Amino acid sequence: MSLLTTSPAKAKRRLSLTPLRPVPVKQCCRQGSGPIAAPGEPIVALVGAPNVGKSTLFNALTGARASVGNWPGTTVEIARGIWRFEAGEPDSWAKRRGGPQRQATVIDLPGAYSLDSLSPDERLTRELVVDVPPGEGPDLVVALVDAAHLSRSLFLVAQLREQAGRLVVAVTMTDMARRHGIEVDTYALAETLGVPVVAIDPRHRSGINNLARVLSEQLSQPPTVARARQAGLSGDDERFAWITQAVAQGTQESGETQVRRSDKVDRWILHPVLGPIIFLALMWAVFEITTVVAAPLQDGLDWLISGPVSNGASAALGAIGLGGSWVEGLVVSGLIAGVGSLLTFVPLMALMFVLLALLEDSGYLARAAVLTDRVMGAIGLPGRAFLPIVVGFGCNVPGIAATRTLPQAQHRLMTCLLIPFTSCTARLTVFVMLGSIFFDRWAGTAVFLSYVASILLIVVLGLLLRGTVWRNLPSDPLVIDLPPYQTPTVRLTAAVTWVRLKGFLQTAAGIIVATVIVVWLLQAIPAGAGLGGFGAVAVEQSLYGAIARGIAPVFAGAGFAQWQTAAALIVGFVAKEAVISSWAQTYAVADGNEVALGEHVRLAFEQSSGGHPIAAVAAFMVFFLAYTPCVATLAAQKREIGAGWTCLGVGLQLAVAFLLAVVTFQVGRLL
Amino acid sequence: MTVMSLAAAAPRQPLVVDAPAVDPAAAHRLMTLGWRPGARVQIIRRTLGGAHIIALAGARVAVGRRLAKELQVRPVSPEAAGPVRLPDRPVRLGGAAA
Repeated sequence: MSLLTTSPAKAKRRLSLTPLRPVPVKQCCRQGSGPIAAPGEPIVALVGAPNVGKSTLFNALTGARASVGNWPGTTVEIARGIWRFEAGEPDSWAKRRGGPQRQATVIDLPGAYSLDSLSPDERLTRELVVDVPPGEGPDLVVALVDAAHLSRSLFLVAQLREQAGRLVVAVTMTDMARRHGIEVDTYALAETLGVPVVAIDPRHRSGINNLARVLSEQLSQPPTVARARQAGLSGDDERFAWITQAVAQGTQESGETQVRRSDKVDRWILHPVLGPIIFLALMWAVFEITTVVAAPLQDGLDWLISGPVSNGASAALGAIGLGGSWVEGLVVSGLIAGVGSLLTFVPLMALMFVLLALLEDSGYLARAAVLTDRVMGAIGLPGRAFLPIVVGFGCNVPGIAATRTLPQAQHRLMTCLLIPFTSCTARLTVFVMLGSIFFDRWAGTAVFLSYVASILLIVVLGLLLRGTVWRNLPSDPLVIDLPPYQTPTVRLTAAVTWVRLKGFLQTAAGIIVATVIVVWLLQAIPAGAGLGGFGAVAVEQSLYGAIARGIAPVFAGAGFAQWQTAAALIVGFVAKEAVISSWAQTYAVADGNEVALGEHVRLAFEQSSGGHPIAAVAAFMVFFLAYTPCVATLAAQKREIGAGWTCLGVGLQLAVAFLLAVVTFQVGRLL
Repeated sequence: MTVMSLAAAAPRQPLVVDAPAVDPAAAHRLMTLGWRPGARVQIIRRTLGGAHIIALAGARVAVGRRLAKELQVRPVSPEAAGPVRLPDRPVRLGGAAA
């Protein structure tokens, strides 16, 4: 990745340009995802403190949709995009290359308060901007600074100006600063800083054209050389003196002490008694809304797919002579049933992502991290570990990616092992279904309790891990920047929701389609001779049924030893979204009548539990909560903590899930 | 003025930072947020978990209970306090940066 992990000789070889490698990509641009401009076009890097508006500016410049939010650590992956701009002056950089319309690659780097940071994300910014060989870094760095907190934003600028290269400062949050009685004079600031300064508002897209013009102009200028420090002063001394001077000359303060709006809100949100109550009430409201509002949308989509779409497909296949064949089985019972089931839960996931986006963008989630710091501290994790865990409640995969914001390797490892126990939206779909089947009007409360159980599981397992594996876990004291509250914008909320929904569907769709086809294949293959031909075998006598029947007795102690339930759990190991489709497939093929899926599931639990279906379904929900989330999560874990720890994590999940399910059923049936 | 821990200070009491944090990681993080000797600081409130919400360099920063006990501050008189600002002259930190 960088020269820090490569010998100088190897690095030199890698950088040598030979005819065999005519189109090299600069080192600073090799990481991340997204399109890049043509080779030889400039690279513009966006740097700045967390939550200063880098991703929003990136989206405005490139038209891309990087993840944005009002809390530190939103950018955990480097996003790349192409910025197309008009060529500026007659002798501009763009003009010399032959055309008025030019393009540049823009890279959105993770948040950094300085260039000597300790977290992997912040270190990455240094590696890609500073520690790259000459000619391998970005052609221009845009440092975003917060006008309301100029002094601390300028520390990074102070370090950047000591490096050779083009630098432009973009001042954000000027409206916030004005409310605090601070006026930023960009002309005076530019004079003091010695680099161009532009005021922008990425959230409302104002000042972007001006910034684009300045960037275009700067790219036509030769890069500056590194600035020498004054003799006799330490680096920090000189930087602080420079910052003091810049703030004094570049800003005007009214001197009035304002009681900030955020402080007024925090009186309630962070109140010793009301704060935790509000936190729990908000979490409860989020999940209640997702169950109540999403249900009719899900029902409508379910009707559409299982009715007109499936019937239409059957009719079309019948018209070409494939009615009743294994092809119809694959298309209708496999593809349409499986993918259709996934699609019916899109409204549920979208709703959850909208609510999470609103909490993030408003600034509340940073407060939630403060409120939960004591609890997290009890299990040896910093308050900041709360953030990836909350993301895990949406989807475990980005939650695990977000652990990169934790500075300590052991904290990252432990958080990665705990995140699979957070109840993601894919599990939510099954909980909602089981809740509506077994708990009637208490369905919402049952789903809420599953989240409480998830939180308890994380705390108890965290305590166990800390008391056994990580007795000497280093402490990471809470230091978290609280962003001011802001009104979430529709555009931003929609963009964040769409990015997450799309990412989720992209990750899950392939796996789910593959899973459903594999399940259908296993159902189509007879388990022995004389049981029927391919695609014409009863499910009980198929390979799928045989495998599930072999596993089912293991769950006798937990009250759900039905083979269909065991089969659904096998599928759930691959993707939780496919569990309901597996049930639908199994019962539809096995029975063929029009009895609702819910009745099948209810009967299955009543039979397998010996008349204690509620205890059995509670045990099943506990098992479902604790065992391995999906193969996509395993892939993310392997990337972050390696295959060994990932395998250990799977063992832990299965052991905990089984133990808790047995205890739940055995205790539950006595009540 | 007497040096005391941040945890011992009263809410809204005008304070000035006496020294960087002892823990290197916390010291660095706080330094980038404006915790530098001579900087003005004020406790806004404490949460149930013992976190301290402080006003530092014009922003709000949450500091954990244990760290608040280790951070050294000095009280200043209300007349001399004024708005929270950067120190007028450069100061030397214990840890080296970059």
